[in-house]
This record gives sequence, structure tokens and C-alpha cells, in this order.
Amino acid sequence: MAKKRQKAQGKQGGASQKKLRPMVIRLKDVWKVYQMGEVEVPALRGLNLEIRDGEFVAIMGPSGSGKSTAMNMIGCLDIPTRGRIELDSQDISQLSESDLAQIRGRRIGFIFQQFNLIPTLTALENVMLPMTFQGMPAADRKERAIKLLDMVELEDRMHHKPSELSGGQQQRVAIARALANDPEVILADEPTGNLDSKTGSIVMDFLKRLNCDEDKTIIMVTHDEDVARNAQRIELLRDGVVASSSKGNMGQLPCPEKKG
Amino acid sequence: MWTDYFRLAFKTFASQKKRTALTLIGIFIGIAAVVSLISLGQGLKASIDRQFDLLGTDKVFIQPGSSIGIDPTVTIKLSDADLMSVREVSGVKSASAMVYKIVRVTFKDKSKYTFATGMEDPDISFEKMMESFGVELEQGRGAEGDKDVVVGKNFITGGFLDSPINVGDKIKIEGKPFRVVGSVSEIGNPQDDANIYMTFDAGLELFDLSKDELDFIYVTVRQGEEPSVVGERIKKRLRKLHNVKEGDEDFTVSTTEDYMETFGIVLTVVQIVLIGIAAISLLVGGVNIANTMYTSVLERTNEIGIMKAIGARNSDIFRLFLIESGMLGLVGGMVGIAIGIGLSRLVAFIAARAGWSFIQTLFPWYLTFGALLFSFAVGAVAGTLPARQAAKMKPVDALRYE
Repeated sequence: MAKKRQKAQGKQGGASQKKLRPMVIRLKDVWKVYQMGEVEVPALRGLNLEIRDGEFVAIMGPSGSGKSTAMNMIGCLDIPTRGRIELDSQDISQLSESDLAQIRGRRIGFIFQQFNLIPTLTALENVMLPMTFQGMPAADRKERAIKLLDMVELEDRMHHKPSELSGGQQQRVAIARALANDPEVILADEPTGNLDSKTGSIVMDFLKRLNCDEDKTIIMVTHDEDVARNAQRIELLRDGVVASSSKGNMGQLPCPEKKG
Repeated sequence: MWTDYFRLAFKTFASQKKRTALTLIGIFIGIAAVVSLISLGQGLKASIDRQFDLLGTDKVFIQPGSSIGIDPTVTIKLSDADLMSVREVSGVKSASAMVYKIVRVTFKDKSKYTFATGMEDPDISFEKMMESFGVELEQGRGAEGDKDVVVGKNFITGGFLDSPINVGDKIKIEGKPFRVVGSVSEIGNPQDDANIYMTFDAGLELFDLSKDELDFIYVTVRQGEEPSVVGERIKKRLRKLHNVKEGDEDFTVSTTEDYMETFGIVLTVVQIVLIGIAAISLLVGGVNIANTMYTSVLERTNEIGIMKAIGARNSDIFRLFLIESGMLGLVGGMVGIAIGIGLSRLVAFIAARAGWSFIQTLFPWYLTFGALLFSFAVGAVAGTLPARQAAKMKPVDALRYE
């Protein structure tokens, strides 16, 4: 594990090396206009955003800044009114719903503020679900799900339903679920928004380790400046465009150690 | 993949036990009603077919009046001349005359009314003649003398006249003494099992009839002859004798097959009406499933959003909900079939206790299989629209739904 981290940090180390990493997500002049009765309300007004492989980017902004809409666009949950969204250089703004679903399932892992686990399923079944939708054989699904739950240190709780887990545990199950199909991008929407600061920081450590150890690209939407500072780069949205871009702490501080 | 959908459906049912149970009740009442009615109808049809099989398909029946069956309003009768002419028709092996009447029968001070039949065939024995009617002698012998009677099973068991009657006992019919010389085996309905059989002459005397007041002529055709062809010949002959045109006959000639067909049609019509009524409850059950599914889709909007976010395609969501509603139908169907089988067995059991062992149940494999398939289809059809609504939800909207 330590060796891998060194390698990952090495990649992120120099500015010259960083430029070599390929672009994962690129938003080009993206507009999203909502029709509210007769009035057109633009949520995004020509948003440009570029995220490279292995980056940990925080998208910040006050409510109404368009950060949720931007996250929906990046997550292929919605299509833009105008503009281009590229995932690994592939334009996804014209894809069918079915294709978008496949892309979401395979290449993007979601982590939500509300955890959003299926309440009738156990932790293990929740983690297996994304693999089910990709048609993975049951035995492989189970093996991988157990491995992932082990990684988020919940292997002893895997047969519990979400209602029997604490908020922090639920979010860790959600992290395991987000990793199920080994996606390139983890999309986290206020991942610590429903957690107290202590469990929030545990969850944040897991996210950071995913970036360091697993080399996952992480895009985190938050309105909390302290949370945003965990990222390498902070993009501040205002009125549907990037207002400013700044550096976070990630990369300057060492990766968190795995506990236990 | 499919098994995963089934597992997910079961998870949902487990989390909504009461609602699932109520929805199931809605569907299994309909299925139970349909299954029990069909099985009783099929059982009844099989019993009737068996009776006709005993009768044999080489029979032609001639009755006065213009419709099949015993019609008490018909006052015209067949004559001795009719019987003689029928015997002369080519293809006729034998022709028996029958008279019947409702009579008062008394044994040990207990009296009751029942059907008595007098019959004659110069060519075969009384016993053989009864057999050709589909009635089997169980004890004793056939009627020979004017005071001999053969009685139905319910006389022997005491089911008809309280005290059981043995072969050799004396009974009174319309106040006149007769001797019981034989009994027939059980037919399966209380009326037929209380019949009394005697010779034709004894019948004529007892009913105070002449030879020209016959109720029924019963023809056995020669081997190799087609009963319907012989029947046509008889018709032609009798038309000439009665001097009537085709279509104006004051008699009816029918074959075993005609009888089977008539009974079959009546039974089918009755079945269609009853099953139609039962099917309405099934329809209501289907609407109930649709309603449950709409509620479920609405409640789980957020869940649908989550599943779409983690990679479920529209078709996955559609299938998921369709299987869920199909399962409701299928499980409802299984319970319904079980209850339906139990219900029709109970009806048959109670009927048998009341002497109607004629009423039986039959569960052909296609009934069980068909009912299962049908109940699944009801569930699936009912779930189509709700499932489509779920599938069409936009992931963003569904995720945001509170």
C-alpha cells in the first residue's frame, strides 16, 4: 500500500508531470436553462471546467450558484441545454438515457449527502447492486462487495440494513458502493453534510485515501469551505460560471494513514 | 440477472407485508372462484360423460314432443304402432318401450314419492336392458313377474325411506304390494338412486295406461350402423306414420351424441356465466395490483433515482417493477389455486354427503398451469403502466423527490 501511495504522490508531485495526465472530464460552454412556467431560469451560463485523471477537485458555491446542476451534468444524470460535456474525450451530451445509465454505472461512483442506500437491502446487497446492473455474475459480485466493505472497515456489518447503521457507517457503505464497478470518477455531493465533524472527517479520510491509494479522480460538491480545503483544487461557482479557482491542501499534506 | 430482480421483489414484499397481503387477497379471491368453478364444471362434465359412456353410443332415443329431455308439460305420447314401426326400421337391433310416473312408495308406514319406470324389450332380459340404460344390477335379479320391482341404491341404504330395505322385502306402491327382487348400484344423485324399475306390463297396470301411451322408446342399433343414420331413418318412418312434414315433428329422435352435445352446451353456458362473474373479481384484483404498484412507484421515487444513478437503465427499472407486480399476481394465483381446490373439494364432499356423489371435482394440469399463467399475466398487465411510469422518471427529478 505504501509503495502505491508513493507512486500516486509521485504522479501528482511535479507540475510538469501533472500535465501529462489525460483529461477525464471537460465541460465546454455548458448551459442549463430551466423552464419555470413562462420564465427561463438559467442555472448554468456557459460553464467551463476541466478535470484531469487523478485529481481531487472541490466545487464550491453558495446555493443557487449552479453547483448541483453542474454535478448532475458531470454525473451524466442530466443533459445540458447547450454545450458539450466530454467524459474521456467522448461527448455525452447527445447520448441516449440507456447509454448514460451504462456510463454512470461503469465510470462514475456516486456519494450523496443523504447516503441514498436502498433501505430494504443489506449493506452487502447495496454494494452489490451497481454490479447487478452491469450484469456481473453473482459470485463475483459478492466477492468484490465483501472486499470493498472490508476496505471501508465494515465487513462485520455487511448483513445489516441501512437503518441499523450509523450515519458514518452508511456513508462508508455508500463509498464502497461507489467503488463497486471500479469507476474512474467518484462524484461526492456534500458527502459530510449529514455527519458530525468527527465522523465527517473519518469519511473524508476515506475519500482522500481513495484519491491517494486508488488513484481515483474525485469531484466533491460542497458549500463548506473547510471541507473543500481537503481537495487539491477548489472551483468556486457563482451564477452558473466558475468565479475563481484556488489550490486546496491536498498534495501538500501527507495522505491519511489507514487505521487499524 | 432475473433471479436478482425476483430477489429484489421479495425484499419489497417483505418490507410491505400488510399491503402485499391485502393485494394478494384481492387477487386470490378471483383465482379461487375461477379455479373451483372450472374444476367443479369439469368434474360434472366428466361424470356426465361417464354416464353416457355406460349408456353406450349405439343408442337412439325417441320421445314425444319436440325437445330433448323429460318435459312434464308434454301430454302427447308415443303409440304401440310407433314402437312396431321403429322395430321394422333397418339398422335397429332392438327397441324397448318405457313408461314412467311419479308414484307413492310405502315401507314400514313411511311413504315418499319417487319415479317408477316400466320397461320392456322382447329380445333381451330385464337385467341386460337395465345395463343398456347404464344401470347396473348389484343384488338379486331383474324384474320378471308383475309384482317384481328392482330398487335404487338409496332404498338399500335406508337413505330414502329411513329403514333399509333388503332384497326379498315387500313394499307398497300406490297402495299395491310389490316384492323387491333386486337393487342397482349407486348412480350418484339422490333422484336416480331412488328410482324403481318394473316390467312394462306392471308399469302399464300400475299407471293405468294403455299400450298407446308410451313415454319413451329406446333403440339399440345394429353393430356397424351409424346411430345418427338410423335415427334419420326412424324419423322418416315416423313422419310418414304421423303424417307430418319435416320440421313439424311431434316427436324427437336423438342419439347419445345429441344428448351429450345438449348437456355439453348447457353446461358450457352455465360455466361461462359463472366464470364470467368470477372473472370480474379477478379484474378488480388486477386493478388493485395496479393501484398498489402506483403507490409503490411513488413511494420509491427516490429509490428509483438512486438505482438510475448507480447504473440502472430504464429497462432495468421497468423489469423490476413488472416482475414485482407479476409476482403479486403469481403468488396470489398460487394461494388462489390452493383455496380453489380446497373449496371445490369441500363442495363435492358436502354434495356427496347429501347423496350427490355425481358432483365431482377435476383438476386437469392445464387448469392449474393456466391459472398460474393467467394470474401472472393479470399482475404483469396491471403493473405495466406503473412500471413504465417508474422507468421514465428522470434520474435528477427522482433523486430530488422527497
